[in-house]
Amino acid sequence: MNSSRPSQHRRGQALLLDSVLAALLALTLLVAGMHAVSSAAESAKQSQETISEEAKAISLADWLIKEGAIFTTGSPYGPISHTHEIDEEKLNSLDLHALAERIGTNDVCAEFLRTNQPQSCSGRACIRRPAVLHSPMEAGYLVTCIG
Amino acid sequence: MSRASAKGAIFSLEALLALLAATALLYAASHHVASPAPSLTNIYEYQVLNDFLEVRSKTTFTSGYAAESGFCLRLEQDGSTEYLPNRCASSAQINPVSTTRIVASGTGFTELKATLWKP
Repeated sequence: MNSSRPSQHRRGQALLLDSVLAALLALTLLVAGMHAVSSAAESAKQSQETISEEAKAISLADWLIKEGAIFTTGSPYGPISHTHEIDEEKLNSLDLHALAERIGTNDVCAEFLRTNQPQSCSGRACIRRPAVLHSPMEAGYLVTCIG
Repeated sequence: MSRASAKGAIFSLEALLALLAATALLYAASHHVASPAPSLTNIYEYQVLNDFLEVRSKTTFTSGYAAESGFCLRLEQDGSTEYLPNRCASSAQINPVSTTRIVASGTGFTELKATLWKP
C-alpha cells in the first residue's frame, strides 16, 4: 500500500464499490426473478385446479341432465330416456357422496330449482342448467356444485 | 473532456443501459402471462343454449324464467325474432354462441336459429 500511488488507491476503492453495487443488483435480480417464477407457477397451479373443478362440475351436470336424474319410461324396445326431464325422486335418491368419491372430490350437491326458488346447494364450482321438472312439466334449473 | 472522463462516461452509459435492461426484464417477468387462462365458458354457454331449446320443446317458458339464468337469448324463426328476456333486444352481443335446429312448425318443418350471450 505504501508503495502504491494515491490514484491507484482511489481506483481500487471505486472498483470495489462498483462490484458491491453490481453484486447487490444481481442479488436483487435473482430474488425478484425467483419470486416472479414462483408466483407464475402458483398462479398456473391455481388456474389448473379451478379448471379441473369446473370440468368435473360440467361433466357431472351433463350426466345428471342426460342420464342420472331423468325420467325414463319402458317400451317394447327398451327404456326411453327423456333428457332434460328431471325426476325429482330419482335426483334425491342419488348417492352423491359415492359420486363425489368416484370423481375424486370432497363434496357434491345437486338440486332442482323452481322459478324464484333460492339456491341452497353451494360449492367452489357450480353449474346451472335449464331443465324441466317431469311432474308437473315445470321449467326450472338443475344446479350442480362441487367442492 | 479528457480521455479518462470520456471513458468514465461510456462506462456509466453502459451501466445505465444494463440497469434499464434489467428493469425491463424484471417488469416483463412480473407482468408476463404465458397464455390466457383456459376457460370452459364457451362449452358451458353452448350447453345452456341447447338446454333452453330442449326446455322450449317440452314446455313453455317465460321471459322471467330466462332472466333467472343471467343470459340473453335470441330466437329467430319464420322471419320473426324474439328476445328473452325482453330487455335483451337492446343489449350488445358480446362473444355470443349460436346454434340452428330444424323444428316442427304446423304441418312442416322450419329452421330455428338461437343465439345466447352474457349481457
